[in-house]
Amino acid sequence: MDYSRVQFMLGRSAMFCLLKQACSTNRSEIADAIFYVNYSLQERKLKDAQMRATINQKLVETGERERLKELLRARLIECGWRDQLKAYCKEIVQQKGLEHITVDDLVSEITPRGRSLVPDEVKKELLQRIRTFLAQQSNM
Amino acid sequence: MVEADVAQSNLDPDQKAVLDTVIEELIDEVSLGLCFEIHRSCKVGSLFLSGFDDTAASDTEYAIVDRPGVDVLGQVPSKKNYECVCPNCQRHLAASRFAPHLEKCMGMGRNSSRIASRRIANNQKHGSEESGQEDENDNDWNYAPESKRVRRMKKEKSTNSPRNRRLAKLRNGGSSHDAAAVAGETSESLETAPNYERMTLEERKALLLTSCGVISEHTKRMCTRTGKCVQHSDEQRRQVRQLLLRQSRAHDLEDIHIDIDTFDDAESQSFRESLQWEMSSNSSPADSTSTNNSLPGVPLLPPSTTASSHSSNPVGLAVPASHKRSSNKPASSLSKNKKHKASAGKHNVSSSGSSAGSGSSNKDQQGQNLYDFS
Repeated sequence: MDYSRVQFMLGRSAMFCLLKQACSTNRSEIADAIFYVNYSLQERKLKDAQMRATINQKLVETGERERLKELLRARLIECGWRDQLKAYCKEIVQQKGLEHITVDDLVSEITPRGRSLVPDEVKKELLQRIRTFLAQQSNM
Repeated sequence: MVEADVAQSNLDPDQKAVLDTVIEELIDEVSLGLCFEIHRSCKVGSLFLSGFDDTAASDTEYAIVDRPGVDVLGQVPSKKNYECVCPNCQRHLAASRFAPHLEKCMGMGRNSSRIASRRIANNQKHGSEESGQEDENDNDWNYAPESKRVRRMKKEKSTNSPRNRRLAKLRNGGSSHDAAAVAGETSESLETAPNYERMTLEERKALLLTSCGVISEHTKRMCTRTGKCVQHSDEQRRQVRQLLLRQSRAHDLEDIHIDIDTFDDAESQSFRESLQWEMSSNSSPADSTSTNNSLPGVPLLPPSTTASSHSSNPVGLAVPASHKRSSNKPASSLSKNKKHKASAGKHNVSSSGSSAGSGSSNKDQQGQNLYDFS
């Protein structure tokens, strides 16, 4: 078993590959494989966190993050996301009662809904913009 | 090939996942902002109000315009010519000319009231029947001055009353007895008629209590300032009070039991002082005896002596009353003194043929006091 390949196959697809291979071999090897996958997953998470931190840092330092947020807000208002969410908020408030509503209630209710309601085009646009930004940063 | 594919797809989704989380963070922030906004409007109570929703739109709509040549609302300032339509001739006029125009066109305005009053006056001239009634009304309007006139006539009558005549006689007699220095002035002072002479005792008292009251030698008028007037001395004031009150006593002798008790204690104090001073000045025994004998109510004698002197009293009327008073009051010596002088004056007039000594002594006492007055 060539474990060095596993390093390149992370995620579920890698797991499936690994399990396929493991089924044809010994049980002890399976355990080894699982341990290794876990280890590599942790490593990857660390890597991701580092990467996100650096990207965020760059975005904040250059002020791009604020600009992105303004763009996102404008786009969301344009596409009616804000109105939809507001109507939903009103429903929640009526359910819970005007006096008893708290910010935490609203946040816990609205955040998942808000994520799901964002149109794909808006997400794509943001993604594209971040990528170009990162490309510019790496070129400099 | 598989490796390359995996590497390709691996790198891309890897970065994409990271970027997705970044985007989700952004979305969460925006929705958090919305949450805060909604919560605030909940607590403020404006969540379910219509018209509060489009805050962004209203902000732009009512924003303060800050451009040159335009007012705060974004409107171009322009001078508006307000035009009025004359209700009489339907002409359009500038507002500033409207009032003058109305004055001419309709007869409204400042002069119109005068015109109207003139018109009314003309109408009333034509209606001659009404004029008679109006004359009566005029009488009503003139009532006040006429009543004044009546009052004045009454006053003149009262000045001719026997009492005043007697007063005049007394004064004339007094002046004839008095030194020649005063003689010329007496008639003048009567003619210029200082109104304090017509006052009754009550009025004089009221006047003297409130004002200084010193009578000036030149104008024959009383000083109208307060009792603490700086121009005149206490001595002058005291003399004037003595004079005036005694004078009124002279013609009030019949009803002598009036109101001396109501006189002020402070004033009485000053009078008492003056009295003592006079007493000390009249210290010669011959003079004192003559006065005691000739005059009825001599001031500071004990009651027994006064009682003994009753027998030789030529004007016996006044004495019992005065004697009654003297027994009670501390101010009675004052009143007695005044009465004594008054009766002395009367004595001078009525019994002019009495003893020369008593007359002269009276004159000595009175000349000083009368000097200021007449």
